[in-house]
Amino acid sequence: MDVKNFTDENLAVFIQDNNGKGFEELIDRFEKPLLRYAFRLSGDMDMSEDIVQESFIAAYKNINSFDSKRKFSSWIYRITHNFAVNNIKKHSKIVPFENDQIKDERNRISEKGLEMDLEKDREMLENNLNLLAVKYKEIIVLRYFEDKSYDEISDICHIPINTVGVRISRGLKILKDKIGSKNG
Amino acid sequence: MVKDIKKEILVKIEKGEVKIKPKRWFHFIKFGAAFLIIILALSAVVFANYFVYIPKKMGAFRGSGIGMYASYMPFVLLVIIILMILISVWLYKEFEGGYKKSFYFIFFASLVAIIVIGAVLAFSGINEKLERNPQMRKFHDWQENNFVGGRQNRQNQLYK
Repeated sequence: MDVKNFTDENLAVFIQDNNGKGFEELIDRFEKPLLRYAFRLSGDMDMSEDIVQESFIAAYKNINSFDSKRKFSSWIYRITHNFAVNNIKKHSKIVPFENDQIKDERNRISEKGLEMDLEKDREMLENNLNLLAVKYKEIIVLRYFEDKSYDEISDICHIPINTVGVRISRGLKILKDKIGSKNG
Repeated sequence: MVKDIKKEILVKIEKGEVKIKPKRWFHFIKFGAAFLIIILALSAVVFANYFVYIPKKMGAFRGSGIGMYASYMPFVLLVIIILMILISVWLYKEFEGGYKKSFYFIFFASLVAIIVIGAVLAFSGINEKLERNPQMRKFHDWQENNFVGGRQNRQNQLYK
Protein backbone atom coordinates (compact mmCIF):
# COMPACT_ATOMS: atom_id res chain seq x y z
CA MET A 1 0.00 0.00 0.00
CA ASP A 2 1.43 3.38 -1.02
CA VAL A 3 1.00 5.71 1.91
CA LYS A 4 2.24 8.66 -0.14
CA ASN A 5 -1.23 9.12 -1.65
CA PHE A 6 -2.97 9.17 1.71
CA THR A 7 -4.35 12.35 3.19
CA ASP A 8 -2.68 13.39 6.46
CA GLU A 9 -5.68 12.17 8.45
CA ASN A 10 -5.82 8.80 6.65
CA LEU A 11 -2.09 8.40 7.11
CA ALA A 12 -2.45 9.00 10.86
CA VAL A 13 -5.24 6.40 11.04
CA PHE A 14 -3.05 3.98 9.05
CA ILE A 15 -0.22 4.51 11.56
CA GLN A 16 -2.65 3.91 14.45
CA ASP A 17 -3.92 0.69 12.88
CA ASN A 18 -0.48 -0.60 11.89
CA ASN A 19 1.41 0.05 15.12
CA GLY A 20 3.56 2.89 13.83
CA LYS A 21 4.10 1.74 10.25
CA GLY A 22 4.15 4.72 7.88
CA PHE A 23 5.46 7.20 10.44
CA GLU A 24 8.43 7.91 8.20
CA GLU A 25 6.11 9.44 5.60
CA LEU A 26 4.61 11.64 8.27
CA ILE A 27 8.08 12.96 9.17
CA ASP A 28 8.73 13.64 5.46
CA ARG A 29 5.54 15.68 5.21
CA PHE A 30 5.86 17.74 8.37
CA GLU A 31 9.55 18.10 9.17
CA LYS A 32 10.13 21.25 7.12
CA PRO A 33 6.93 23.13 7.99
CA LEU A 34 7.37 22.37 11.70
CA LEU A 35 11.04 23.35 11.62
CA ARG A 36 10.12 26.62 9.95
CA TYR A 37 7.37 27.24 12.52
CA ALA A 38 9.60 26.41 15.50
CA PHE A 39 12.39 28.59 14.12
CA ARG A 40 10.10 31.57 13.68
CA LEU A 41 8.91 31.20 17.24
CA SER A 42 12.26 30.56 18.89
CA GLY A 43 14.68 32.32 16.54
CA ASP A 44 17.22 29.57 17.22
CA MET A 45 17.88 26.76 14.76
CA ASP A 46 19.43 24.33 17.25
CA MET A 47 16.50 24.79 19.59
CA SER A 48 14.06 24.40 16.68
CA GLU A 49 15.61 21.09 15.67
CA ASP A 50 15.29 19.82 19.23
CA ILE A 51 11.70 21.06 19.41
CA VAL A 52 10.76 19.30 16.16
CA GLN A 53 12.49 16.08 17.18
CA GLU A 54 10.71 16.10 20.54
CA SER A 55 7.44 16.88 18.76
CA PHE A 56 7.72 13.90 16.42
CA ILE A 57 8.61 11.60 19.30
CA ALA A 58 5.58 12.88 21.27
CA ALA A 59 3.41 12.53 18.16
CA TYR A 60 4.54 8.91 17.74
CA LYS A 61 3.89 8.05 21.39
CA ASN A 62 0.48 9.74 21.38
CA ILE A 63 -0.66 8.94 17.85
CA ASN A 64 -3.58 6.95 19.29
CA SER A 65 -4.97 10.13 20.86
CA PHE A 66 -5.45 11.70 17.43
CA ASP A 67 -9.12 11.96 16.49
CA SER A 68 -9.50 11.42 12.75
CA LYS A 69 -12.47 13.82 12.66
CA ARG A 70 -10.02 16.63 13.31
CA LYS A 71 -7.29 18.07 11.12
CA PHE A 72 -4.00 16.25 11.55
CA SER A 73 -1.83 19.27 10.79
CA SER A 74 -3.49 21.22 13.64
CA TRP A 75 -2.83 18.29 15.97
CA ILE A 76 0.88 18.05 15.18
CA TYR A 77 1.32 21.83 15.14
CA ARG A 78 -0.25 21.88 18.59
CA ILE A 79 2.41 19.47 19.87
CA THR A 80 5.21 21.58 18.34
CA HIS A 81 3.58 24.72 19.69
CA ASN A 82 3.64 23.32 23.24
CA PHE A 83 7.28 22.28 23.02
CA ALA A 84 8.25 25.60 21.44
CA VAL A 85 6.48 27.71 24.05
CA ASN A 86 7.97 25.65 26.90
CA ASN A 87 11.47 25.93 25.41
CA ILE A 88 11.11 29.66 24.84
CA LYS A 89 10.01 30.13 28.46
CA LYS A 90 12.95 28.03 29.64
CA HIS A 91 15.41 30.07 27.58
CA SER A 92 13.68 33.40 28.04
CA LYS A 93 16.99 35.02 28.95
CA ILE A 94 18.13 34.65 25.32
CA VAL A 95 19.11 38.03 23.92
CA PRO A 96 17.24 38.89 20.68
CA PHE A 97 19.54 37.94 17.82
CA GLU A 98 21.28 40.35 15.49
CA ASN A 99 20.60 40.52 11.77
CA ASP A 100 23.83 38.63 10.93
CA GLN A 101 22.69 35.80 13.10
CA ILE A 102 19.36 35.75 11.29
CA LYS A 103 21.22 35.47 7.99
CA ASP A 104 23.34 32.59 9.32
CA GLU A 105 20.28 30.77 10.52
CA ARG A 106 18.54 31.37 7.19
CA ASN A 107 21.51 29.87 5.38
CA ARG A 108 21.23 26.83 7.59
CA ILE A 109 17.55 26.59 6.82
CA SER A 110 18.15 26.79 3.08
CA GLU A 111 20.69 23.99 3.54
CA LYS A 112 17.71 21.90 4.53
CA GLY A 113 15.93 22.92 1.37
CA LEU A 114 13.43 25.13 3.09
CA GLU A 115 11.93 27.85 1.02
CA MET A 116 11.75 31.21 2.65
CA ASP A 117 10.46 33.14 -0.29
CA LEU A 118 8.72 35.80 1.71
CA GLU A 119 7.17 38.94 0.39
CA LYS A 120 8.68 42.25 1.40
CA ASP A 121 6.18 43.03 4.14
CA ARG A 122 6.46 39.55 5.49
CA GLU A 123 10.21 40.02 5.74
CA MET A 124 9.68 43.23 7.65
CA LEU A 125 7.25 41.40 9.89
CA GLU A 126 9.65 38.53 10.39
CA ASN A 127 12.60 40.77 11.27
CA ASN A 128 10.53 42.42 13.95
CA LEU A 129 8.73 39.39 15.34
CA ASN A 130 10.99 39.31 18.37
CA LEU A 131 9.56 42.61 19.50
CA LEU A 132 6.35 40.77 20.33
CA ALA A 133 5.39 38.69 23.34
CA VAL A 134 5.09 34.96 22.57
CA LYS A 135 1.29 34.97 22.84
CA TYR A 136 1.04 37.44 19.93
CA LYS A 137 4.04 36.12 18.02
CA GLU A 138 2.71 32.54 17.83
CA ILE A 139 -0.62 33.71 16.38
CA ILE A 140 0.96 36.07 13.83
CA VAL A 141 3.42 33.39 12.71
CA LEU A 142 0.60 30.89 12.21
CA ARG A 143 -1.59 33.38 10.37
CA TYR A 144 0.91 35.16 8.13
CA PHE A 145 3.71 32.62 7.69
CA GLU A 146 1.97 29.27 7.97
CA ASP A 147 -1.27 30.49 6.33
CA LYS A 148 -3.47 28.87 8.95
CA SER A 149 -7.14 29.76 9.27
CA TYR A 150 -8.57 31.22 12.48
CA ASP A 151 -10.16 27.86 13.19
CA GLU A 152 -6.85 26.02 12.81
CA ILE A 153 -5.04 28.59 14.98
CA SER A 154 -7.73 28.09 17.61
CA ASP A 155 -7.03 24.33 17.50
CA ILE A 156 -3.27 24.78 17.66
CA CYS A 157 -3.16 27.36 20.46
CA HIS A 158 -6.25 26.03 22.29
CA ILE A 159 -7.92 29.42 22.47
CA PRO A 160 -11.38 30.57 21.29
CA ILE A 161 -11.64 31.83 17.69
CA ASN A 162 -12.59 35.33 18.90
CA THR A 163 -9.39 35.49 20.93
CA VAL A 164 -7.41 34.61 17.77
CA GLY A 165 -8.84 37.68 16.02
CA VAL A 166 -8.25 39.92 19.03
CA ARG A 167 -4.63 38.77 19.39
CA ILE A 168 -3.89 39.24 15.70
CA SER A 169 -5.14 42.82 15.64
CA ARG A 170 -3.52 43.63 19.00
CA GLY A 171 -0.23 42.00 17.95
CA LEU A 172 -0.12 43.93 14.66
CA LYS A 173 -0.88 47.17 16.47
CA ILE A 174 1.87 46.59 19.03
CA LEU A 175 4.25 45.75 16.19
CA LYS A 176 3.34 48.90 14.25
CA ASP A 177 3.83 51.05 17.35
CA LYS A 178 7.16 49.44 18.18
CA ILE A 179 8.48 49.68 14.61
CA GLY A 180 7.29 53.29 14.50
CA SER A 181 9.11 54.20 17.72
CA LYS A 182 12.22 52.25 16.59
CA ASN A 183 12.38 54.28 13.37
CA GLY A 184 11.96 57.50 15.33
CA MET B 1 26.29 20.40 10.70
CA VAL B 2 22.61 19.86 10.12
CA LYS B 3 20.89 17.39 12.43
CA ASP B 4 19.18 14.43 10.72
CA ILE B 5 15.96 14.51 12.70
CA LYS B 6 14.26 11.77 10.75
CA LYS B 7 17.14 9.31 11.14
CA GLU B 8 17.47 9.95 14.88
CA ILE B 9 13.74 9.42 15.45
CA LEU B 10 13.58 6.25 13.38
CA VAL B 11 16.61 4.81 15.21
CA LYS B 12 14.90 5.46 18.55
CA ILE B 13 11.72 3.78 17.29
CA GLU B 14 13.62 0.78 15.95
CA LYS B 15 15.53 0.37 19.23
CA GLY B 16 12.20 0.41 21.07
CA GLU B 17 13.15 3.52 23.08
CA VAL B 18 9.94 5.18 21.90
CA LYS B 19 6.67 3.24 22.02
CA ILE B 20 3.10 4.04 21.05
CA LYS B 21 0.75 4.42 24.01
CA PRO B 22 -2.30 2.13 23.70
CA LYS B 23 -5.69 3.54 22.68
CA ARG B 24 -7.29 2.41 25.93
CA TRP B 25 -4.98 4.78 27.86
CA PHE B 26 -6.43 7.79 26.01
CA HIS B 27 -9.98 6.46 26.41
CA PHE B 28 -9.33 6.11 30.13
CA ILE B 29 -8.10 9.74 30.35
CA LYS B 30 -11.08 11.04 28.34
CA PHE B 31 -13.72 9.07 30.22
CA GLY B 32 -11.98 9.77 33.52
CA ALA B 33 -12.14 13.52 32.85
CA ALA B 34 -15.80 13.29 31.76
CA PHE B 35 -16.64 11.26 34.88
CA LEU B 36 -14.91 13.80 37.13
CA ILE B 37 -16.74 16.68 35.45
CA ILE B 38 -20.11 14.96 36.04
CA ILE B 39 -19.27 14.17 39.68
CA LEU B 40 -18.10 17.74 40.31
CA ALA B 41 -21.19 19.21 38.61
CA LEU B 42 -23.57 16.99 40.61
CA SER B 43 -21.75 17.80 43.85
CA ALA B 44 -21.90 21.49 43.03
CA VAL B 45 -25.69 21.17 42.51
CA VAL B 46 -26.03 19.49 45.93
CA PHE B 47 -24.02 22.27 47.56
CA ALA B 48 -25.99 24.91 45.64
CA ASN B 49 -29.15 23.32 47.04
CA TYR B 50 -27.81 23.83 50.58
CA PHE B 51 -26.59 27.29 49.66
CA VAL B 52 -30.22 28.26 49.13
CA TYR B 53 -31.87 25.85 51.57
CA ILE B 54 -29.93 26.74 54.74
CA PRO B 55 -30.81 30.47 54.67
CA LYS B 56 -34.36 29.55 53.61
CA LYS B 57 -34.74 27.24 56.62
CA MET B 58 -33.43 29.93 58.94
CA GLY B 59 -36.09 32.29 57.71
CA ALA B 60 -33.98 34.46 55.48
CA PHE B 61 -36.66 34.57 52.78
CA ARG B 62 -39.38 35.55 55.20
CA GLY B 63 -37.51 38.69 56.08
CA SER B 64 -37.02 41.89 54.25
CA GLY B 65 -35.10 41.45 51.05
CA ILE B 66 -31.58 40.63 50.00
CA GLY B 67 -29.92 42.12 53.10
CA MET B 68 -31.58 39.51 55.27
CA TYR B 69 -30.50 36.72 52.94
CA ALA B 70 -26.94 38.03 52.82
CA SER B 71 -26.66 37.85 56.60
CA TYR B 72 -27.45 34.11 56.42
CA MET B 73 -25.54 33.36 53.26
CA PRO B 74 -23.21 30.35 53.68
CA PHE B 75 -20.17 31.91 51.98
CA VAL B 76 -18.03 28.80 52.48
CA LEU B 77 -20.48 26.84 50.34
CA LEU B 78 -20.26 29.48 47.63
CA VAL B 79 -16.46 29.20 47.64
CA ILE B 80 -16.70 25.39 47.39
CA ILE B 81 -19.18 25.65 44.48
CA ILE B 82 -16.93 28.12 42.64
CA LEU B 83 -13.89 25.88 43.16
CA MET B 84 -15.78 22.86 41.84
CA ILE B 85 -16.89 24.78 38.76
CA LEU B 86 -13.36 26.08 38.15
CA ILE B 87 -11.95 22.54 38.25
CA SER B 88 -14.73 21.27 35.94
CA VAL B 89 -14.18 24.07 33.44
CA TRP B 90 -10.43 23.43 33.47
CA LEU B 91 -11.03 19.67 32.87
CA TYR B 92 -13.51 20.44 30.08
CA LYS B 93 -11.13 22.83 28.34
CA GLU B 94 -8.10 20.59 28.77
CA PHE B 95 -9.49 17.13 27.98
CA GLU B 96 -12.84 17.53 26.25
CA GLY B 97 -12.04 20.05 23.50
CA GLY B 98 -13.75 22.92 25.28
CA TYR B 99 -11.04 25.44 24.38
CA LYS B 100 -13.14 26.86 21.53
CA LYS B 101 -15.46 28.50 24.02
CA SER B 102 -14.58 31.41 26.27
CA PHE B 103 -13.55 30.48 29.80
CA TYR B 104 -15.66 33.25 31.32
CA PHE B 105 -18.73 32.21 29.33
CA ILE B 106 -18.49 28.55 30.43
CA PHE B 107 -17.73 29.54 34.02
CA PHE B 108 -20.57 32.04 34.49
CA ALA B 109 -23.09 29.94 32.53
CA SER B 110 -22.26 26.92 34.73
CA LEU B 111 -22.42 28.99 37.92
CA VAL B 112 -25.84 30.41 37.05
CA ALA B 113 -27.19 27.01 35.91
CA ILE B 114 -25.96 25.25 39.06
CA ILE B 115 -27.34 27.91 41.42
CA VAL B 116 -30.71 27.86 39.59
CA ILE B 117 -30.93 24.04 39.75
CA GLY B 118 -29.87 24.19 43.41
CA ALA B 119 -32.57 26.78 44.15
CA VAL B 120 -35.23 24.69 42.38
CA LEU B 121 -34.21 21.71 44.54
CA ALA B 122 -34.20 23.83 47.70
CA PHE B 123 -37.77 25.01 47.05
CA SER B 124 -39.01 21.62 45.84
CA GLY B 125 -39.41 20.27 49.38
CA ILE B 126 -36.91 17.47 48.83
CA ASN B 127 -34.73 18.62 51.76
CA GLU B 128 -37.67 18.56 54.18
CA LYS B 129 -38.44 14.99 53.08
CA LEU B 130 -34.80 13.97 53.47
CA GLU B 131 -34.61 15.50 56.94
CA ARG B 132 -37.12 12.95 58.18
CA ASN B 133 -34.28 10.46 57.86
CA PRO B 134 -32.14 10.74 61.05
CA GLN B 135 -28.86 10.34 59.15
CA MET B 136 -29.75 13.12 56.72
CA ARG B 137 -30.94 15.24 59.63
CA LYS B 138 -27.46 14.92 61.17
CA PHE B 139 -25.86 15.85 57.85
CA HIS B 140 -28.09 18.91 57.49
CA ASP B 141 -27.27 20.01 61.05
CA TRP B 142 -23.59 19.61 60.32
CA GLN B 143 -23.96 21.75 57.19
CA GLU B 144 -25.82 24.46 59.09
CA ASN B 145 -23.33 24.55 61.96
CA ASN B 146 -20.29 24.54 59.73
CA PHE B 147 -21.33 26.75 56.89
CA VAL B 148 -23.43 29.35 58.65
CA GLY B 149 -21.56 29.09 61.93
CA GLY B 150 -22.84 30.80 65.01
CA ARG B 151 -25.40 32.89 63.17
CA GLN B 152 -28.17 30.42 63.91
CA ASN B 153 -27.37 30.54 67.62
CA ARG B 154 -27.37 34.32 67.59
CA GLN B 155 -30.68 34.26 65.77
CA ASN B 156 -32.15 31.85 68.31
CA GLN B 157 -30.94 34.01 71.17
CA LEU B 158 -32.47 37.05 69.55
CA TYR B 159 -35.92 35.49 69.39
CA LYS B 160 -35.83 33.84 72.83
